Amino acid sequence: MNCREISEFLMDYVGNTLDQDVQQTFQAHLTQCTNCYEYLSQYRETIKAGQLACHDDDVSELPDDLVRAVLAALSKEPRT
Amino acid sequence: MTEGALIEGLRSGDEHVFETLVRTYGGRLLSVARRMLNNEEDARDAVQDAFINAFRARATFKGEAKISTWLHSIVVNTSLMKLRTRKRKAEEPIESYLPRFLPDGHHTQQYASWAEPVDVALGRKATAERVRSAIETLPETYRTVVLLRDIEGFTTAETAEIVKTTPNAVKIRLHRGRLALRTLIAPHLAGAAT
Repeated sequence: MNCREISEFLMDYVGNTLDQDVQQTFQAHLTQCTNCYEYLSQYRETIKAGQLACHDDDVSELPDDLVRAVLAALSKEPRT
Repeated sequence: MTEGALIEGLRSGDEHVFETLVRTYGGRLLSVARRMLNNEEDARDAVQDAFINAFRARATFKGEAKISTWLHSIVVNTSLMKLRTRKRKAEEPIESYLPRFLPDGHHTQQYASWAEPVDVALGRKATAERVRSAIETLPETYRTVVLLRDIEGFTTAETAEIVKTTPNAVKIRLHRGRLALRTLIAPHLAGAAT
């Protein structure tokens, strides 16, 4: 397995869905190739970075004018 | 108000319950719509449409999922409907953001560890903003799948159903989207703190 092939298997490796024999070949390459090892690490960190950048813990409330617009629109909906 | 009381009120169309839902979950739904649509006006429209769609579909809500999960799915679908009705622009090819290889299969570039763990780097507002901008830069086909899988937490099968494609196509888009996102955020994470 070369670096290009390693790149194609990154998602399955990170998701732990590689067949056992492919996983062993993948890991054998990583022990010998620091470049792929670093690239894998950055691939993992990228997923985490996206999640951290978009977390909604500090989400603000819906602006009042939008609350009013939504409630006005809902009030026009038939109740049956 | 308890989840049970909210579900009861939702089913019966109680307007006070709906106001509670709008005030409780609206802000989070607006964040989701902003990420999906990259446009404030469209995001606001999507949230309004989502609540209307939720109201119309209230009888079908069985309470198997949390109300927040149900509303989340509705705003994602509403946002995607909006994306589909937008005039299609030619999408930028993603290839320029993907890793390159020599004819013998080796990377053309050397990679080194980033300066600090991302949970430290992303603790800075400026870096978090740059990562969000990088996600916005991804071509739409890839951005949507990265958002649904990695950010909004849908499974591959759920994402395939939402974007109306196959699970295999979702996996390919997700992988390429992540590779491209790595390329886009690397300059902000490789060096010293900014």
